[in-house]
Amino acid sequence: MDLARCIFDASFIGKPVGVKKPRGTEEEVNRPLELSLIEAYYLMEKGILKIFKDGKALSLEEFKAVCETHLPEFEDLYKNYKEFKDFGFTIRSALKYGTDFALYKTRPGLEHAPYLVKVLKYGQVIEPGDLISWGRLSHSVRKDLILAVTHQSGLITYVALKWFKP
Amino acid sequence: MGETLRIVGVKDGKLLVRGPPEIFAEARVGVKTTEPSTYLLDLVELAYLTYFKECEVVDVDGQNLKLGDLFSKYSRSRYDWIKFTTFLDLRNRGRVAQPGYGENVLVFEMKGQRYAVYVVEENSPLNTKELLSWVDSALLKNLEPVLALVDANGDVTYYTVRKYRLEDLV
Repeated sequence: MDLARCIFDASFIGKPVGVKKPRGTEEEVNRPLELSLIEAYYLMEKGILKIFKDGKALSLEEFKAVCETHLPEFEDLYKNYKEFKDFGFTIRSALKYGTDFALYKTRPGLEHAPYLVKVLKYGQVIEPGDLISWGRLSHSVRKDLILAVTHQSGLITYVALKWFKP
Repeated sequence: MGETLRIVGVKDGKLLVRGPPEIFAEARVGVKTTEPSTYLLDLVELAYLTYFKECEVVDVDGQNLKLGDLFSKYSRSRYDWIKFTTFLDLRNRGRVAQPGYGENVLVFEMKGQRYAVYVVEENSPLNTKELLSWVDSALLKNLEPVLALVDANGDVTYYTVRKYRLEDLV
């Protein structure tokens, strides 16, 4: 529990179990922490977390295979997560906005996430209808939509789409 | 019915059109050629004169062409109709849209800033590689990239497209 508290307090990774909008209060941080696969992999890669299955600690490769089974786009999602996290952003899931991540410059509770991120592959074909949906939704919740176009080399190009009235 | 415009030929995918110079000047369309009263027009510009300025268009063989005939006979790109839709939409908003440097690109100026509008249809999938390459080409020309998405009813939604570095987001 101490490690969970420490992780949440220091990096705002994960979510205290049963807390809808964590703000970092004393009561919240005393709960167990629920991590997404991406968050768990990040902590494991940093050497902060060990994951056990049937009493045996999983290697990073073994856990990556688990992540890829559950998240087919894990590799690109993780590249982006790591890039944002290492840069200092707080990252939450943005499934409810139809995108991959919501980015905070500080942390939830102190501000509304200014950006929604949709991770795409370089060369990926997208439906204009999807672009309209992401754009319209992000505009309606006053967030900027960032398309994170991920190249095979690992390079990521960030493109912001903003509704515009000529 | 307004003035009569006569198609006298096709050059580099554009139409050579003869007519009163004041029509072209007033509508701010076309490029003047060395031939008297003859202008080089994109199909969408001639369509605009037909549809909006009610000009009569006479083909090389003397036949009158309505808007539909014009597209049936001279459209060479699948983007022509949606480019025309966007051209009209921008003109209706008071922006002097003009054909740009690609088959689905229009340009216009607003508050001292020049924009390149990349026109895309609702049902035509878009490749991220193509999108990034177009954004780069617009920026190289010192134009602000704008994506125009045209739906099945001809409604146009515009988005500015800007490239960022992570440092720009904080």
